[in-house]
Amino acid sequence: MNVYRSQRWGAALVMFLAGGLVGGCSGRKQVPFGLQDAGAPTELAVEAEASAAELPVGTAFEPDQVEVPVAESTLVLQAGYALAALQLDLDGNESIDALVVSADPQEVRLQAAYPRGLDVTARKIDSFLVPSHCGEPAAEIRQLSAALVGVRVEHACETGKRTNFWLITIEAQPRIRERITVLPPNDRSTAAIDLDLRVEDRDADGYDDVVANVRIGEIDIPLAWLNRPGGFARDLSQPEGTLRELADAAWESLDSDLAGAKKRALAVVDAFVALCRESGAARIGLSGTHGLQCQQSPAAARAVSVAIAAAIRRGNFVRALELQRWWEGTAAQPSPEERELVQAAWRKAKAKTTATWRAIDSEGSRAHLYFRDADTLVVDGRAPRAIQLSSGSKTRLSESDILPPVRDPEGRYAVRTVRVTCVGFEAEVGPIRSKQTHRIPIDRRAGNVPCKTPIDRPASVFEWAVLGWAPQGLVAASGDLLRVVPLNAFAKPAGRPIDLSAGSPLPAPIRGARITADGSRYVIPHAEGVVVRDWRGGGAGLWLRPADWDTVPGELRSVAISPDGQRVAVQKGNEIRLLSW
Amino acid sequence: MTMDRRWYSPGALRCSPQLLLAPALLLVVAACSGARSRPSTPCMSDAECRADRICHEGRCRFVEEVLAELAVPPDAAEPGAGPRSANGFMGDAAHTGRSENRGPSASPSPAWTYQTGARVFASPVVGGDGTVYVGSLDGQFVALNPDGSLKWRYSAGQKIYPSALVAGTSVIFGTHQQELVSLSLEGQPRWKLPLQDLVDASATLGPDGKVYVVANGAYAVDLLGRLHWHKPTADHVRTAPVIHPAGLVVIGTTEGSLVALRLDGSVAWEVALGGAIEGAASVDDGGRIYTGTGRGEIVQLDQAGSVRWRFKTGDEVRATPAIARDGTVIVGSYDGSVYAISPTGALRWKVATGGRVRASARIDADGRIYVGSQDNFLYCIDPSGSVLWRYNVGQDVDSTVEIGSDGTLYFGSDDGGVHALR
Repeated sequence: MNVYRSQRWGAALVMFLAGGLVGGCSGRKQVPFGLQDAGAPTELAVEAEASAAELPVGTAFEPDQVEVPVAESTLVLQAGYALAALQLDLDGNESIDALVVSADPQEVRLQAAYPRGLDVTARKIDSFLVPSHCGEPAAEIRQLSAALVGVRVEHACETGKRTNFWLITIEAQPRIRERITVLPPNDRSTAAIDLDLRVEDRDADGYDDVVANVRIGEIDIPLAWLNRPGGFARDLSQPEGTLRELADAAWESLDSDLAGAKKRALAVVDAFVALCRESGAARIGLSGTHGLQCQQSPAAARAVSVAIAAAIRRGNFVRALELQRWWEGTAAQPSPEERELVQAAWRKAKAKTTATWRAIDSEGSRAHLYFRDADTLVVDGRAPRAIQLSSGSKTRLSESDILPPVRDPEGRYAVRTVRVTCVGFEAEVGPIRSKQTHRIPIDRRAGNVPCKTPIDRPASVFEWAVLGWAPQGLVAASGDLLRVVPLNAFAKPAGRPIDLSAGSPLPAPIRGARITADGSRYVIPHAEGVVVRDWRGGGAGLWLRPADWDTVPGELRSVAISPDGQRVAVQKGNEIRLLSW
Repeated sequence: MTMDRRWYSPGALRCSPQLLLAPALLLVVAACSGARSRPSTPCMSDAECRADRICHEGRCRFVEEVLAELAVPPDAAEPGAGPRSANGFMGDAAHTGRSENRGPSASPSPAWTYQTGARVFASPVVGGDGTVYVGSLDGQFVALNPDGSLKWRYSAGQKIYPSALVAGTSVIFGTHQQELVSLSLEGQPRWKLPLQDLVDASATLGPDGKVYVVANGAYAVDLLGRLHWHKPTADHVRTAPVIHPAGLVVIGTTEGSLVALRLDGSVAWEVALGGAIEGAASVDDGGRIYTGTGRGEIVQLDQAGSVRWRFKTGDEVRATPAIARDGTVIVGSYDGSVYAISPTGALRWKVATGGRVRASARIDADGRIYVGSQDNFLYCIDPSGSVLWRYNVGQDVDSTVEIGSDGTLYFGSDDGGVHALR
């Protein structure tokens, strides 16, 4: 018995040693967590890099080809046609297999093909659906390293080029490590985007990492996936790291090279929009998700600040207001230093015209101002009154004399106020002679995350406002953005809001306090002054800030423009003043 | 009824059942008799109405009911029926181009011009009160007062190619936003119906009160914006539907087919004419159908779709043939000429202009013909083919003229102008 036991132990020892020898000579290093190796050891890295140029590139096929050669056999596609194929040994049995990309009008497929005698067995690895407005694709398969293959599939679509990437590990059953999609341009992101995949040992740990070099306009951003025992993990320091460098460079050069600083800053903003989920217009997708999760981006905030300051210094006030909208509800919240940069720029802004103002009244509470005619200003505050501007005389008004400035063409309904709620910005609308109201959404809050705490407060004069009411509906504005909110004859929503591009015709006539009846001119309040915008004529906007603006304490609470668009009334703090230029 | 003496017995409280019931019956009759009932107090504001009702004309009503009533005009024959009259492209549903109004016989003068931001391809349409309705390629749809001042403007957000249809109290037009829009005469939105393709042609009101419009095929929509049917075609359709008295809706496709649909959307017939059909067809008083083609032909068909004759011009015919009261067919061609063709297919006369003729002709009450050309002129031609006058607009005139009740001519031009001449 003892002999048998010792013989069994001896046999086990021999087998153990033999297994170790075999495993050590197989050329595949065992990864402790049981996952397949995805890179060569350090001492072979240099050799791998040197031979990168020799790594095979797959064959592209002519259109409508359905037969793919695999070693000595042929794979006949059951559906669609072949785009490209790469011959390589997937399962380590020293016979040539293939990775095949094929397509039909609805879908692009990636398959692994294994010759078995005269037959070829195909196994689907992955696929993606193709939008109906995209044409026929082109594909390229390239081996990136000893263990990685990259596939690129390009479609020409109605809206532009759409590119899909697969990153695949070479093993008996190839696995997708990452899927990357680059979408065509959209309304908010028009920069050209190019992406290249390569491998390099980014963190000097002896394992190949994957780098996707994303070129957006003139900026190169390296997105890296680091090879870890548990798999590939994206390096979260990008894109913020690169964007921060560029934003800081723009910041430093703002005084010495205004044009260059603006260009760099806008390039950072474009890259943020294109890459980050938080922009709402991202064009890069990873594994089906839309955009990279960038969270708060100090780089974007800095870049936006520089771009705003540059726009103000160049006298493009409307553009500055457009950029300033970035600060509201996005991941680009400015630091106090950046905010001060912009405020200082507004304070020092060189206006093309000299604005003056004179005090015409005072009002302790926040008042609604509107022009009844070119010479009569109504102050709807604690004691409603009409002020004759030419003579200065004031007439007390009763409740029945006050007609809300923003009311429908038939005079039945009026906008009482704009409120900030969990929905977003809403106009409170109701019959003029009744306290009953209902709410009309003007701008919905982005994202699906519900409010943590309920919100319901009046909007400030700097947020979304209803400029007026046209037959088509409400004309609302936030900074430089104008939006039409269609309403029917009963002040109920009658269609999706329409954002108007600069210069496009506004509905008319418009009845409101901050816009002329023909929609040609409206006033945009700002903490440091007001901008009068000529909507039809375009242009940079008229910046109005009297030299003694700061001598009147308090913030801007109300603004109104005269029917001819030539004068603006403001309530700053407790003073009501008339601006002329 | 004889009186029972027991009723009058002093102290007797017993009453005849008939007498007890009578007052009750009288009360019931009084309550149910509208003529004799006390009138209800009219409401003054929505606050006096329950929940989702509004105060409309003194009565609490559901919003939807009121909107539905407003969409159907007061002159409708019966509730739910369409308006008795409508004004749209070419003046009537048969696209004859005839007007009951008289245009200027001598060279007119400009009354006013309203400037939009881009080309006005549509024909202005005049409402019953003289308001002029027209859309522009800059995305605005305007209502202009007879003096040319702006009454209201609607921002569509996309190009507006076709003329509007003014049916009762609704103004209906399609846009490149791929939707059919209905507004009130005051410019307030009534409804929007999304379609599946760009709308390049005007809507037409059918005898059944439905609105017919084309995009990727033909659509039948009622005045409340409800889709009744959609007959898709393989190709985009740019021709306004024409209504044949036999109850057919006829459209032409860009692939060169003329298709007749019954009012239920089924196909009555389809005939290939061999050239793209870019202009609407028209129907004469005898039920004969006329259309132009991309092969430069003007084709007459009978109501069964059989081709009776083809008249060849020198280039594409994209205009809609107008039909004079004597049956003469008036239509312009890309060869630069305006043709007058008899109902038998013989040429009556031809007037050469200096440019392609894309616009359709209109014919006034005296038979005078008004048509624009891409040579920048608006022409007035008498029924015998003599040019009475021509007016230099300074821009291509592809928009079909509308003749107002006072003889004012309204049309659009390539520079975005909406012109009034009288």
